[in-house]
Amino acid sequence: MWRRIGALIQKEFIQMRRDRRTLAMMVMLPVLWLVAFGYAVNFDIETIQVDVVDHADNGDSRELIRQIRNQEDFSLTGIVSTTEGREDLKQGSTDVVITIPAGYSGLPRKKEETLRVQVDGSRLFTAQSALRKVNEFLLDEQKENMNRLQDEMEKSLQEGKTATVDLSQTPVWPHLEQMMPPQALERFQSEWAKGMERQVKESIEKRVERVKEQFPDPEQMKPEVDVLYNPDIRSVHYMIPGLVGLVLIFITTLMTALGIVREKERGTLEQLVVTPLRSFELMVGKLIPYFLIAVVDFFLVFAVGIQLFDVPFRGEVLPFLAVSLLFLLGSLGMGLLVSTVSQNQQQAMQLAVLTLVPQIILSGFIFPLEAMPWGIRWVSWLMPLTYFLPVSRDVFLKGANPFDYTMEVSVLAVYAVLFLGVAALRFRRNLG
Amino acid sequence: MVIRLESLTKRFGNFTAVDKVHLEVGKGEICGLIGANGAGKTTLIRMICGILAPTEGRGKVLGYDMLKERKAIRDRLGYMSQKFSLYPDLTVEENLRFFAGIYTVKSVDRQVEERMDRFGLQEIRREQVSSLPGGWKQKVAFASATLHSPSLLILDEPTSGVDPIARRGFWDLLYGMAAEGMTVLVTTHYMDEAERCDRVAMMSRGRLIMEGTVSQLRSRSSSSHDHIRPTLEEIFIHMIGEESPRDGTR
Repeated sequence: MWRRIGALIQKEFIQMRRDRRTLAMMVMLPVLWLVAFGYAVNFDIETIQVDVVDHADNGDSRELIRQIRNQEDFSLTGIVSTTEGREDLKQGSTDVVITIPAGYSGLPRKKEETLRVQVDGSRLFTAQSALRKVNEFLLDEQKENMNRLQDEMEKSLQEGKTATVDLSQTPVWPHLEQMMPPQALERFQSEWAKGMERQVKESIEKRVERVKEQFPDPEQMKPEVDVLYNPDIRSVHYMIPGLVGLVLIFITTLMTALGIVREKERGTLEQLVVTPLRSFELMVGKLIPYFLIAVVDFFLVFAVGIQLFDVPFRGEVLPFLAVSLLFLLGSLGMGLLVSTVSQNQQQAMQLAVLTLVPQIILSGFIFPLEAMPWGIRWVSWLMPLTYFLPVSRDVFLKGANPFDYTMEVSVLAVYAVLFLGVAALRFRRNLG
Repeated sequence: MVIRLESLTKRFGNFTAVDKVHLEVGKGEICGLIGANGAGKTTLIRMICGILAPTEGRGKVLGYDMLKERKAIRDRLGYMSQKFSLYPDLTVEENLRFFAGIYTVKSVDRQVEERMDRFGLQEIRREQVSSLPGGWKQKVAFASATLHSPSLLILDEPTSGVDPIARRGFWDLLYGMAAEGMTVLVTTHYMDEAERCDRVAMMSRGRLIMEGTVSQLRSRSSSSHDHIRPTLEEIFIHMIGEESPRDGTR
């Protein structure tokens, strides 16, 4: 038995060596995909193009524009009119238009004084990114303004203490002149003024103190946000662990399906059927080479993902490899299943794409499962990738142990057994 | 008897490809199977090889039951299909070694060398099969189908598209094999080849309409014919014409 399987494996590797293009495709394509997708599948926009419409044109509005200029992730495209701003947004030459109303001050008190922010919702991810950044910026801006306001109030309150009281201007002065000799009066007057001054000062200080206490500290107004595992909320960190799974399932399924159907097409499969080679041996002999390539692909994709995209891998490699292999076995089984129902490579290709492409959308690779309606979510639950993704992400980012994900791992195991088993049965029947 | 078929039938839906065929082939015989395209030759052969399951009937091949003992049959069977079935991207030697491995031939090296000597493949051993001309390809396929010295060799139109000289060489090799006790079942469209067979079986529209040695067939049909000694080709055309007066192809 092993001699026959060995002969098959050897043959398979000779064929791969001869067919450089296919081999390159099987090894290089996953990496190319990963690199291309890794850069492309990114919802974060680094620099937001900002148009400003300034109806106020006062100190405060100019200060705001200066702040926008200084902001690193903003690039000020220009100070424009309302229509120009609208046009820029429509053409996509700007991501966001900030309109400063006439009579704007740092701290608006009326509805007419609030800032207007416009984004293009047809460019969804840009709009979301822009809104997030603008909101954050404006929140900071408000904080600044509050601080300034507080300082101003403090200053204006303290100005009150410079008002001195001159006794000589008061109606009691003639009486005092009669009661005291001039020298004593003069001393009394200065003493009294000092005392009064001190009293006023103290009461003002108390008042300032009280106002300060009641006045909220803008620093504390923002909640303290603590993002765990992916502190900068970078989408690459979220996408790469998923991409590893996607690329692997694509390559293994396609490779297996095409490899077996090719023999069918060439007529060599019929030749093998009349030999003592059993269908089980044929299956194993075909799968082992593809499995080895898939493992090589796994390490390549894994290494490139970590090296090139700086994605942290906080888990342990071996348990993750074990779960990934389970996932790969399922993919191989899927490829085998596809090959048993296809007569030629074209059919196999179509069928493989038909089963693979929906997994991109429905597995939770891009869109969260929680956001899907129930009907669709059921379809998602049928897909192997749906179970691999959370494990992969948590192992990468949280350093989780994949075997703690009992449900996911068992489903992957069931899929591997189911796909391979059904494919083996069908394979046997096909061969007669 | 190496092959003994009893009313073997294969139906695909409404179409009966092989209709109650009885056939016996003795040990060491070369049996030629002739018939127009679509007569059911390939279907019959595929059933004997165990690629297709018969709808009805039964048969024994090499003394084993066709249905229940396929494994034992496959160990002792050599098959060369109509479709060219070597790996085009492997060299001649790699193809032979591969099939030697699949048949778990003992002492692969010696066996492969012996085949290459016998079939004159030594100088092309390192060539990829895809680059060889048709006649050579057939020769390599023939060599790989007989690597394990099968007791029964089944060839489906082995010489279609092969030049006359290569065909002559091919048949010389075939005679050599039969002389060693190998039983051969071969289909062909060339009547000169059929005449070289020990026995000829003629099929038309799924049925076996004539069967016997070439001289038996001749004497059987000469009485009903103008010629005293008709050629096999004349018998063939006559019989097929009688079978299907309208379209002549089935």
